[in-house]
Amino acid sequence: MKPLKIFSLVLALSFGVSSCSDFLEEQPRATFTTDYFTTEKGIVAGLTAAYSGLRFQYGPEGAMTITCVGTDETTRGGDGSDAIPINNYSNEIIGAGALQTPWNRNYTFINTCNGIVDYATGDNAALVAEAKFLRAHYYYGLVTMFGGVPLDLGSGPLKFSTTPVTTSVRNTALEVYEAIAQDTKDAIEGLPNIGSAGRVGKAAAIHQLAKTYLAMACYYDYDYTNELKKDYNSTASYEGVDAAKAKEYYQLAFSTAKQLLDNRGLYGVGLEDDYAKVNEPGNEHGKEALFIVEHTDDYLFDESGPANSGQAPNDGLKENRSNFMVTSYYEGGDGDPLLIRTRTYGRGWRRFVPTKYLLETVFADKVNDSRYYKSFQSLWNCNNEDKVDEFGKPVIFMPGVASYANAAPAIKQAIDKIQADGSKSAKKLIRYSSDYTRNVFPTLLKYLDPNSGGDRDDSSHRPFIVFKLSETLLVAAEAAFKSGDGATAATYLNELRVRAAKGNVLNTYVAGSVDETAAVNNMKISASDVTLDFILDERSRELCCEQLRWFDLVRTNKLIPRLQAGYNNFGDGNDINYSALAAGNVKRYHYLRPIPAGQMNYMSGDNIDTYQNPGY
Amino acid sequence: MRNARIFKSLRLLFLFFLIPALAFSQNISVNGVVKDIAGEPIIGVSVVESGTTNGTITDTDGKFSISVSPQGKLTFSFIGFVMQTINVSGRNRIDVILEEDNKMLEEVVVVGYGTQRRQDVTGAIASVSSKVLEEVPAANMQQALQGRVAGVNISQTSTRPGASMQMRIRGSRSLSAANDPLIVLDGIPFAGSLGDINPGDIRSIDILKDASATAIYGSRAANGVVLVTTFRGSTGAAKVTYNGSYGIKSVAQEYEVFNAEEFQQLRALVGGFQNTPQEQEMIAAGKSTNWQDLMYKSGYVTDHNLTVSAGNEKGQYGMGLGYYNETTVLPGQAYKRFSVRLSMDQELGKYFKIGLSSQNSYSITNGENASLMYPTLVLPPTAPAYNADGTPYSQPSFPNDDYYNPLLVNKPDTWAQVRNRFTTFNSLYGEIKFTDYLKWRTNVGLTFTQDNYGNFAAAQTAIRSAETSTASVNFKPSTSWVIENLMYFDKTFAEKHKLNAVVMFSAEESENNVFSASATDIAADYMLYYNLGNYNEGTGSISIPAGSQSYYKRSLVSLMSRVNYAYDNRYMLTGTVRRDGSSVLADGHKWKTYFAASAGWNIINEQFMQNQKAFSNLKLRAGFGQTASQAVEPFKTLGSLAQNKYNFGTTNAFGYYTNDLTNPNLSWEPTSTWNIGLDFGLLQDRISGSIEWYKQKSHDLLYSKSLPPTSGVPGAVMVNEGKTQNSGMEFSLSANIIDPAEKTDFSWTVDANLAFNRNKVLELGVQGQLADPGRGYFVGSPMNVLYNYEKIGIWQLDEAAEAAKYGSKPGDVKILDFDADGKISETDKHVYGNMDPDFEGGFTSRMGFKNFDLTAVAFFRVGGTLVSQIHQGGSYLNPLQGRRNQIKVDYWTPWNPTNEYPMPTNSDQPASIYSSTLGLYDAGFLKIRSISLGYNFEPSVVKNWGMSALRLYATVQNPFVFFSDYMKNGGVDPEGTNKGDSGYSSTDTGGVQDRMIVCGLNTPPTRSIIFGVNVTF
Repeated sequence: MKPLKIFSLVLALSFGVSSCSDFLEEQPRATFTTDYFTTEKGIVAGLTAAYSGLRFQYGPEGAMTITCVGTDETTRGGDGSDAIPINNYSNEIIGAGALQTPWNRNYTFINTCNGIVDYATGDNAALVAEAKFLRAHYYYGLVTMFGGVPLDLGSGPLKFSTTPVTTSVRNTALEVYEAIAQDTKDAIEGLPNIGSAGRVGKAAAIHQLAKTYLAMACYYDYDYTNELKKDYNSTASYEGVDAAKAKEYYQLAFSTAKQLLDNRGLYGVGLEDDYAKVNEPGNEHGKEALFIVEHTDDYLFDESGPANSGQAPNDGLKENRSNFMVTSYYEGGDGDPLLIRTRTYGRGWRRFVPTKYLLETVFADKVNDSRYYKSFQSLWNCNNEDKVDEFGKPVIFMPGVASYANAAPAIKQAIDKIQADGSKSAKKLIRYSSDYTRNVFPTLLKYLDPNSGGDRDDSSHRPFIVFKLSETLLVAAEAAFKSGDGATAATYLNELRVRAAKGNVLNTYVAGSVDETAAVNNMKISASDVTLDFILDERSRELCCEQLRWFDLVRTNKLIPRLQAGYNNFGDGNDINYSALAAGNVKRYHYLRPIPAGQMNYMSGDNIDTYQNPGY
Repeated sequence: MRNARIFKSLRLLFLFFLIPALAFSQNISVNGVVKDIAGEPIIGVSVVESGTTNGTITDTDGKFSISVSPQGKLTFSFIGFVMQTINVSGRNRIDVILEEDNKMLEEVVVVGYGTQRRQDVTGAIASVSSKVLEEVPAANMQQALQGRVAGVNISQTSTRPGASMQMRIRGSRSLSAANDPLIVLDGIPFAGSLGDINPGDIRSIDILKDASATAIYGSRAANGVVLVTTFRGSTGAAKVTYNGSYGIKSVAQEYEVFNAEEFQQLRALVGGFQNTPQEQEMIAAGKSTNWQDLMYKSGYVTDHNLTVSAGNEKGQYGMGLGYYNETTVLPGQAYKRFSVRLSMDQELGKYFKIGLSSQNSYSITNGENASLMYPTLVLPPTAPAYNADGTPYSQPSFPNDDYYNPLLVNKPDTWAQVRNRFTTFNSLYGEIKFTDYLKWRTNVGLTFTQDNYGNFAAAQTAIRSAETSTASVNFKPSTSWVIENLMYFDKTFAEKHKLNAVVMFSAEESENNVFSASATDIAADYMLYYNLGNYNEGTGSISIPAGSQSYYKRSLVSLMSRVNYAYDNRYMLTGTVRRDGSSVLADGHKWKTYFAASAGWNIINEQFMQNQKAFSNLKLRAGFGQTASQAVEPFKTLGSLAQNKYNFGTTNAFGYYTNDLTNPNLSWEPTSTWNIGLDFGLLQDRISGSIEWYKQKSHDLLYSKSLPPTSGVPGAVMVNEGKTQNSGMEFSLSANIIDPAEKTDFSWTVDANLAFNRNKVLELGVQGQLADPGRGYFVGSPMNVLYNYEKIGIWQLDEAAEAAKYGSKPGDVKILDFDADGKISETDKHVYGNMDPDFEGGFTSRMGFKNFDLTAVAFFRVGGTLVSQIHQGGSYLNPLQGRRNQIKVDYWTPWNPTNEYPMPTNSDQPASIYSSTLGLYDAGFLKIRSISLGYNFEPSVVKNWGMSALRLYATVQNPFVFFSDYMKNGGVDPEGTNKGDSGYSSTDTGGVQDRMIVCGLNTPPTRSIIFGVNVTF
């Protein structure tokens, strides 16, 4: 029967389709699976990913905010609201998005490093050393913010996690520090003496180890994680909590830093001759930079996009926006209409502003110490070509002093010069400290990116310098001082101070107004000048706003006294809304940041109630 | 065709029953012909003298002859046609034209893999005919269905032309997998988008709502099934129809923003922002700019459908050509669709039948992402729109705000956003009829879709403020095939036992990939996105981001059987079993079997109902069944790496890290449903309707579970966790309120429906997790709720002391201290604001008088919370700051102690922290969708013009909105205008999730006046 024959044929055909046993099997073709990490190329790619993850930590708005505001270096600026609770240590700090980034991102790349360490074979020893350096670095970022954090992500301590795990147990801060020290020591073993472009060498690892030992010394000295005395709610300061242990680690920190400082040639590092060169655009790979987070003009590999385009991946969280943060809104209402926004003068997001303490006390000496004018912009010239008569003439000059009367002679000369040369139609040509507003103030110069291509409003395409040899000197000085060797401390500090005496910007305004030889002598200090406060101020002079300050103040137990002393003040009526609240609110528990709600919401287990840092 | 055959047999049945009733009496003789509306004679029409048993039937030419009383009335009735009664009034010749009865057409229901008589159906199935769809002019069938079917919630996701609609049948159940119903087009699961189907091609839509009906589609049926049947060929001479319309669209409701004077007051009050020199000039001259008036122009909508159908007993064909074009009130936004349809059915000898149906559409959507509305609303009314020379003044915003004049987009080559989408959907079948009761059928479905998107934005325009242009393309080809083999058995035993069974085996596979590339700083604007390689070297760039490319493939193998048994037209039983194997689930969990059973009792056919007059129909249905969902993306069980980038000096490199982890246990998300339904007809079906009650539980939900960051894996992992429940009731009613004695008398019918659904999350996670605030799910609450602080007013002057305790001051938002601990902190966030309505429904009123017809369609929602993102601070449309213009709100000042909106301040003030609590309104409204007035020309008149039918009509679309709290407070459309992720919003969304439908910033809703014509040749 004909129909039946056709029926059989159709039946045979249709079953033919399904009888292929692999019909329901899947083969992804557009993505890798974790098997990729078992290959040589996969390990290299994993390491690249781990380097790339550092971009979340250095340069973005949140990263700058959590390390700079609420300290004696910067306070809340004229725009943006994210900085308010962080500056003010108010209740809302628990919801601050900026604090979530390190917690939400670091573990991903720690796990990537775990994978490299676990899967690498004998041929990959150098890659493993880099991975261990990076893993330690990510953990350092976590432990200094949150205290003890988990070393086990689901497959055992420091093991690559391959199964979804929702439980988490925090190690102690000390255990984490010990793991960091061990990883970093392993890294020093395996790394080359001199790293290649953008990749770490021994110098970075030695510096990291010295910092880790210094942090551990402070852990025993000041109990800044509250792990030892469990005193969370007071504003007390302790010193010498476990003096013996503290001393041991101060000495380790010192000897480690010294190892680098004594072998600068071997590790290919050294101090620049002129402080201006340290942060000079284009010199990010210079000899003073030990470890940098890379950026490039190429949007794709920079993981950024043209300004305002919304094209940056990760919502711009990997963009280096350090160039917007402490930048004046010079063309706005408080500024001058003779100015227009340019790449040279920067995009004035003014998220935070330098404190009065930084500008006037830390940088009290602007004549012998050249670092003030090299760190902060003092002069804005008319840059609007439409204003033919005014173009190029000074429009705003901020000499950095409270008044003409109390300015040093060299500064007075500069003021006179600018007054004579300046635009006659400028709204207010000479602006003293009392003229600063949270919108218009001395712009931080070290992160401006005047030269790179792209859009005027682009984030910075400059690499972010994480470790500098100058900081190694400061670590060594602090460790020496705490070990009772003030003379050695003074020697190391003088290296920086003598350099700082050279090439004052005032001499470019009025040639010869500062005598360099005299300045060098004036800058030198002796052992008796060295105190912890002096070292902290020297750190500001050398490294202000470089994502170090909040941690340095916490580590040395100086956050609370300095806020209470009004060092967070800007010097205007709004201080009542910011620095005054900060001084009133801050408690010891603020030494650790709150664990983000995302962790609590997605975590399971019976330790949820005790997981959060006390006080929050 | 199946319908036609069933009709034919029913007609014969009818004829058979009528013959014994024929009788003869002494009266006048009346002759005549009975024809249908197309002029074809109707055979077998019963012609009965009213109130007697005297009657006859029409012959093969539609002729009849009867002897009746000269004062008597003749009733003409025939199954499938509207009954007519005509006064004899002494006439000897009476010709009659009978109209097809749509309600009778509905009596056959498409049930998936076959059809069923309505009276045999045991599941919950709603049917909508083309006539009902046509009552609302629409770009797609969902628009036409909105508010028409109880239990089917259809919401717009955007007010732009060509935007898709969201369809939910009996609520949402899955937390992470899709909640969209399965679409079956002409019997084949449809892989495309509903917008690809020309609504003019649709003959009927049958919506399967409960598990006993949907279980035949097993693993994809948990969200309901929509069966779309398109027109096919018909027997008889070639029939040509043309339906065309053209309408003008205008803004229904403008956004309310501050005028120049009010804006200046606000700016003065805040004090932080000075007027620009241009603004000072405008103010001095007493001039102002209404940006909305400048931007809005009238749009149009036009729709044309031409169809041809013809055939004989052995073979039929149908063809259709469609063109739809819709613009809107903003420049550059438009949707255009061309469609071509062909269907053929051919019997080959005694045993074989083959056929095909091909639906092809090509659509062009312009401007689907353009956000011109933001500058239109926020540019200061005090800023000039034009320079002295008449060209647009380019940057009217506050200095360095970088908002460009939206009028600049009218310049050629400023921007382009074009989606070109070509879909061809083809289904072929072959049937072998072994005997009267045994039939084999093979269906093959082949779909191909090419979806191309191109985007270009020139530098420094209202679309893009950056200094360089940008362009991107996105190409997505998709293919899918399905093959189904079915065996049908249909036989009646011993007259009373009717058995009908179908067995099916099917396999299907769909595959697509996405290619995506973008470039910046294109060398010349006129190149748009046509050559990304022509970018300016140095300043421009090109990229093919790895994260934007994709490849998907999924396959499904199924076995299914359904058995219907009916006894004596009184008791019906349906049993279904299906087994599915899916590629996207984990090994060892790929297969699942489903069962469903239901029963029906036609009470009206019982002996004890024979003597009552009240009920003309009464039927009780009950069913239980299980369906499931596997609507997750492929490869979810395998884990994946994500790419990032880095540069080591000048050497660029890609990095890879673990983004998703494997779940080796990923399995099905089953849903169990109980359904009880009652169908009724009263007073000879003058009133008819149905009531449904249902309860569904879904468990092992496919849930994209976020892991804590300490897991080291940023992506979520797909797991089976959690339980949800939906229960509700649906009421549908059709009333023939005024039943005309004569066809031309006044008539009035009303269809109404009302439904409510109660949605609840019963369980989250396996370890007693009570909340997932990140995704907005909370145990014990519906899926669409807010989780946030709650505004209870504004702190007033006399509450200053109390406010200070909370760190606030008069004029700030007053937040509910939910945990009453004397401070406002994270723990004061709580669940409130259910966005689902308490109940919703719609009604259609149809009136007729002589040749006129008047139809009005309305739908309504009662209760629920509407979130107006434009009123929230995070949208930047209500910053109360004076920097830019904004939505007009009643803000607090010491001399205006309102409780609506806080005191304007510069953004430093804490009030902005709680601005996400603003903008909540009651979501209820009644919207008149359309009012149509039509005129049907007399067939005898249009015959002279070479037509067999002609109707002219005028429709006003979206004429009125009533009872909307939101509209009273300055809203433009209470229906919702955006999904939660599509408007302007900040990181603090106030608990609004991406999936939620909210009122945000979008093209304003429009009102249209449409004129149209329907012609049949």
